[in-house]
Amino acid sequence: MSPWCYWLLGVVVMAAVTYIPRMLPLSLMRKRIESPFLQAFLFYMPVAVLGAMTFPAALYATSSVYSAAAGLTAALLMALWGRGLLSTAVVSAAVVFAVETAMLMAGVLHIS
Amino acid sequence: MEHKKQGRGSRFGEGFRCGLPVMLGYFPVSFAFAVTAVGSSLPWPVVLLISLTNFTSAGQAAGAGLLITGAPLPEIGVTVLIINIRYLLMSLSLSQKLTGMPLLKRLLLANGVTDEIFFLAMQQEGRISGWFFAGLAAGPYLGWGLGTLAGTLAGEILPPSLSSALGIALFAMFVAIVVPQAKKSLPLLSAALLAVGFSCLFRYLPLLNRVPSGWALILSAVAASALCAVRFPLAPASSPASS
Repeated sequence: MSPWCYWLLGVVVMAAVTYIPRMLPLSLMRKRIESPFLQAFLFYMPVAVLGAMTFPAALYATSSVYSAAAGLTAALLMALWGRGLLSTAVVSAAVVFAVETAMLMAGVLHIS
Repeated sequence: MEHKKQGRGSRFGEGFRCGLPVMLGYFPVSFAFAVTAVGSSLPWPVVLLISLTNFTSAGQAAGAGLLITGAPLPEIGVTVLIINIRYLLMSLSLSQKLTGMPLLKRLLLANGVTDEIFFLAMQQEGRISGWFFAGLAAGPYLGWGLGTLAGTLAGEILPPSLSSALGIALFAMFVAIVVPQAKKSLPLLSAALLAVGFSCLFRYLPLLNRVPSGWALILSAVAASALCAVRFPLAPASSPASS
């Protein structure tokens, strides 16, 4: 298989396995769910998914656990202070950048 | 239902405005993805095509990583599917917000189910219209595509320390979405903290840390939501699908 053929087939496979879980429940579940338990379950689900996605995975999203922890703390403080999505993301990334720059200068971090 | 009284254009516009912060937030995230992918010798048209057809963060990053190493296609499919399994839950929740919508619309709008768009949609009171959801998804899709394009162009000149810092942006957005909700509701706070606890168990405990991360995420979220649904049942009026 040529590289381009492989890449394009790979992209098609990725797109398919991304679309299918997005599409199936939305197109099959046409009625209202009446069960109080399931309604409550689906009510709590968004923040639960969000929480599980964020921590501890965010700690490993940058070049160092320390810079990630600093960025995450900054995001938490911004959000507690009532700031929006964008300013929280920008400040958090800026804090990570500042911490990593300081660590690079101190010689305790090596980014490949 | 109040959405129905407005025209399509104004519902689309309302959704678009609501999605603007996510559009701007997606730009640096897909930018960082593209910088990494192009830097690992994936041609830029492939990188752009991945963003435009996948429109998801973790799944496409993992998929691109496997493409770079030349992994077999079935392995790519299974890995990306496991990471994306969470969309089953989101899509199920969202189906309760879009009751009464024709199938074709659902098939189209399913493309817009990303983490952030889903959470913004769920924050709306009552049911939402298809045009509102389309508007909500349009901006972030644009931001995702443009960020990727810019990242493929800038890939050569961006210092690694900057792309490393962008890695936190997605998670910062998650925090910005969940904290305001958890702040005003003990049950929602419990759901978030329980899920974090379970996800830590899956990360750090022996044996449990061998569970693939996509499944670990699903199990953590399901367990936390189920426990909270038992412990904190909803008052009839506050159910998510009530309109």
